[in-house]
Amino acid sequence: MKCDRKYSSYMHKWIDESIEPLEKIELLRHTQSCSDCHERFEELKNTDRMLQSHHSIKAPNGFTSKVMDRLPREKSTSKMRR
Amino acid sequence: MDMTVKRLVRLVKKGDQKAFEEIVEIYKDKVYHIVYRMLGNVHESEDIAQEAFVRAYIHIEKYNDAHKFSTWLYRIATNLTIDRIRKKKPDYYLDAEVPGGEGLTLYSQVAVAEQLPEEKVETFELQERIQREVLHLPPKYRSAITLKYLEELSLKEISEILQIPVSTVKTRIHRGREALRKRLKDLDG
Repeated sequence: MKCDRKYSSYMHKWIDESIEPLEKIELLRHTQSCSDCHERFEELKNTDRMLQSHHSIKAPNGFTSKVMDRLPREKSTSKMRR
Repeated sequence: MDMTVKRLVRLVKKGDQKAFEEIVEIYKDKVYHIVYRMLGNVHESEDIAQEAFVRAYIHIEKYNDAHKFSTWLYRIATNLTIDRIRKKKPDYYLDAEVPGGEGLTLYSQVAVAEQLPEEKVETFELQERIQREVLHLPPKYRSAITLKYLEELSLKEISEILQIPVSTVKTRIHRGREALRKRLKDLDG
């Protein structure tokens, strides 16, 4: 791509909501006239949406007790208090 | 909640394992998520995630509660995972992801054990595809992207977890996302 690299950086900053107002205007102007960058920007926003839709994963059943089994022996007698 | 964690950590420092059990309950899903997204193998991920908690327990004295406990814990988990990735052959992930091994795929954990309607199947495939593409990223981008999309982690927190400057975190997220853009081009989100 022959466009200035700054546009790509603006796109990421836009997605991360860290773009400056003037950069935003510059990017919008540019993507209105450059179809390559327009497409690239759409693809990036799409990628971001997909990553956001990526489900959270839960630890497998029995995870906590397996961790507890792997711990070294208890140091004190705190059991008595519970 | 942070007050609760602080109190629990104080109890653990005094040797209270029961308090540590509560900590594991609070963070197990997040820790497992980080490890799984970076490693892509159910068995190994469980082992590493458990190990992260064991290390946290053993080294609890080193934790300084001026910082967030989650940052410290995620750092342990991320470091262990990166160590594991470095020890593996790069093409291992591809094999590891083929679903069906003993029925233990990712989706035996997230999805309910009922018949999936059509649109759920599509979501399922999309989810699996994203996971696969994230696993293709070089580890340093993979960790940055995983943390970025895990939850509301600030760039500052991510930089503390990965122990790299914020500017480097940004670069890694940008490069990782750029690589994913190319690989996920054919899909609609």
